Amino acid sequence: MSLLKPSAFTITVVSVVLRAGFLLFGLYQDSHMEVPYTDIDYYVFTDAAHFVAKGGSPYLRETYRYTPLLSWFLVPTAWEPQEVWFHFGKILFILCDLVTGILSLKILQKLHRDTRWSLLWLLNPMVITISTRGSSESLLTVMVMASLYYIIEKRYIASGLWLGLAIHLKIYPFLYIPAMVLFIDPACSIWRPITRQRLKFCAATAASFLALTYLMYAFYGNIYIDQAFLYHLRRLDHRHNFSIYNITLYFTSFTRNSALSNSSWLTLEKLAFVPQLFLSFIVTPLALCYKNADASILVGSCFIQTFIFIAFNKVITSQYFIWFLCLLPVYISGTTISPCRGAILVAGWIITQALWLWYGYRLEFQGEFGIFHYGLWTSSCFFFIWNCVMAHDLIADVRKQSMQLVQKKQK
Amino acid sequence: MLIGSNMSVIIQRSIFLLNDKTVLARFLKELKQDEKDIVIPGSAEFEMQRQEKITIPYENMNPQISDLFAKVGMLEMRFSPKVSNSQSVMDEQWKHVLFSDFTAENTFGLDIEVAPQSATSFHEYKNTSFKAIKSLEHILKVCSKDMPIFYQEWFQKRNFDLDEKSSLELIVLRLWNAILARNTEFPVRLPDIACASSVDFVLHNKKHEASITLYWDSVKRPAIISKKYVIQEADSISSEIAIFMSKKQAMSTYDPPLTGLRMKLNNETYNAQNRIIKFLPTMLHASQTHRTLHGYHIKHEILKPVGMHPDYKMSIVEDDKRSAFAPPRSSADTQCSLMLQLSVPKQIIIDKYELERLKGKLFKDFRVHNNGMNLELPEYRVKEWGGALSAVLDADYIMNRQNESFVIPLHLRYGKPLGDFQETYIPKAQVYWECSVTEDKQKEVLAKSFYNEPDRLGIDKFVKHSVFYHVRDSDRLSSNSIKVEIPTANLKDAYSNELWTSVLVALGTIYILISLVKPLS
Repeated sequence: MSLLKPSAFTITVVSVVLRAGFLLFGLYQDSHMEVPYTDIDYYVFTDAAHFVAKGGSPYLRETYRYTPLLSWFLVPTAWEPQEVWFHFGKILFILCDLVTGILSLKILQKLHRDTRWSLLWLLNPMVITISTRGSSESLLTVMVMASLYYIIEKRYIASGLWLGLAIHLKIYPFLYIPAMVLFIDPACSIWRPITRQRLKFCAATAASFLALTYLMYAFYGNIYIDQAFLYHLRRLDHRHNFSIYNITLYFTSFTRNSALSNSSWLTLEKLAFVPQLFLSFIVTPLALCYKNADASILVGSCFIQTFIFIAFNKVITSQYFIWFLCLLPVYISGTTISPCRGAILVAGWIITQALWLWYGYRLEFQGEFGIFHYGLWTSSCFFFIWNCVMAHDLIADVRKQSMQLVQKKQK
Repeated sequence: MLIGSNMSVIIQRSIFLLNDKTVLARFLKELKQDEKDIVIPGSAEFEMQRQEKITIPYENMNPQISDLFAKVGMLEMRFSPKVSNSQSVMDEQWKHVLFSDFTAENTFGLDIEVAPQSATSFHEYKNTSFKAIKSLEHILKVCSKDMPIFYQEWFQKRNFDLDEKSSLELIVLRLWNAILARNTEFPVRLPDIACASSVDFVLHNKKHEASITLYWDSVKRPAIISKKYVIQEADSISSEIAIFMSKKQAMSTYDPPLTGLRMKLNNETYNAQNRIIKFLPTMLHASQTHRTLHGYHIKHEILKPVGMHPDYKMSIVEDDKRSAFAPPRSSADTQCSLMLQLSVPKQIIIDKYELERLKGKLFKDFRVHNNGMNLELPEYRVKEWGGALSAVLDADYIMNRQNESFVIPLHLRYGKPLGDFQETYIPKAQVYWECSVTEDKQKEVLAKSFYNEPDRLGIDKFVKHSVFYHVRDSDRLSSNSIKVEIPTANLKDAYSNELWTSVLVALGTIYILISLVKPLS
């Protein structure tokens, strides 16, 4: 019985043991095998941390394009003996990944949902691999989950502070602001949106984001703004990734003109933000969270917003999926999608990705010609179409949940 | 010394090296001269190399150019056309000992290096370097917007796209015609220039002169040296011709005595009364700084499949089981290091952070020269010409590995989307032992060697009293570079790609929007 319904303690212990196992295997692979286990970005973070430890700027490390806060967190990786302290960051990311899981477990408890759904995160090999390889995504997911946890707890200042921190770390969590604002004082009319509680939340978000950003600017100056923010606006995202825009951006980076309009200012690259933000930042939270006080709907909205934001993004890599995966346990705990339909959706999502990965492998490692348009782009299109199908089903699901809740209340 | 110095006279030094002494008698029989020309026999039968060094005093140059050269002080230009698909050359050809200064420099494409000596600040150093490189490119009519990089302690710009064989004669003649003040005929025949393997242009600022050196890996046709060049209307050229051959087998010693014939050809020896000049016997030790390591050669390859992350593999191949993979040491305290120099065009990334993980294994130390590394940029958005890697290798690590090989990981940038693929060429890396000379006598010999070029800007520039033992590439004569094909998109697909992407994004947006706003049933 305890195996079928493990306690929170058991889940946590198993999760810790699993992560320790992956970490130790990673150490073995790094020292004994040709292909390293440690993520390439982990070397970027730790190199930057070494510069910080010596009193320098993390931006002395080329290709470091994150907040200096990350390198500050990792300063212990510069301590001696290196063989031990080098892995400090991975331990930190594992801890964050565990806390993310525990927070989703706590939210599930709060919503009186089956806590076993938290295993989708805590025992997820993809999640464990990402944090044990030294990817910093879990640092972000813990902040997002903490913000959601506190907003559900109605501790709006704490929630805002965590959200501001998350936005400082990576810009995209600003997406959640409208949904969260609508969740606070849900009875409010859209025409009279300002309330005391909402102001508290927004002020806390702005305070933590601006204070940290100013602090980093005060320390490192323009290079921080340039590398952590402006670079992401001007970067040429032309190297192949799952995004449907990818090959078009490759062409545009060469011609500097749109092939359709033949102009340099009306390119797909510049217009890509419009449908992305319109759907994920404005319409989705309004459609799902307006006049809705239910926490599971809030989490569902955040899940869908992130899903759409990534599907319409100019760059999509596998690590981005972690952004919505941390919300999956809470979202899925209330889903109305049938297991069969769910299996079809997931299978399609995996198959379209696998198709792209197959072409990606042929280009990246086999060096085959003629892959870009007919291989990578067409499979990106299939993946995009399937993401839209999934988004449709997810939206319908959350709206159905919302309607059921209303009906339940009316009864 | 072969040549005396006269500042107002252009001096030409022609050296031929005959590798096979069994053909000497026949060679001498075919060596001919009449009143106008000297014919040095050359054919596939006579394995022979040739070098022409023409030294031009600043006084004979266009004043604008000589002023620039005097201001720059240190400048070197090298050019080697791409060698590929030519027939493979027998290993024995590498027995030659005299020209390893040239054969060691595995140049491919055009290489200009500048270290301004008059600069008082780095800003001035950079500006003068850029100006000198631009002027030289203008002279050579080489158009390239790529920026130089700070290499070692000076600025370097390389251009790998000049792959036409005929470019060498154009480069030589453009340079010659631009720098000389008066209309003087280049003292090497055009068909001969066209067959040359490389050209090297160096400033000798202390002597107020510059030299153009042409080198032929293999002379397969008779070389006709015209006596008319000696007396020209504009400038007179003092010429010296030498034909050498090694007395001993090259494998047995690194600096064998060379015996041969020499002839001085100038307006004193060649005049109306004396039209036929005798060859005189001569003998010398070249004592060159750059030598070829005996007993081993290196095999260069890019592992297949290449993909977007080529692995450049170098294998040390043993020719002679008796010798260790080490240079000869003249004394116990001689320090030798195994070095690697690799230059890559801008289509290729050398990731210094990735190489950092090879430190303590393959590399004892290394340095990557480039102007920052924006890994995401496509080739056509990179401003610099490329990058270079200088490394101290751990010979024990290499020799203890299976197949005595090592791999340098490289990465390809995206290329211009103008077809299914874009070709690029990586010059083969140079692997050599660098040994410090500790004995005073040997230092003196090296310093006095006529073959030493102290003004060259290269791997030996800031290393005093050292001898270099190069691990030869046995395939060098058939190819001096490795071809890499970068998969690219094709611009002809751009319209349909953008059109259908826009359509799908629009449809996807409408579909999601409808699912968000339509009333639930």
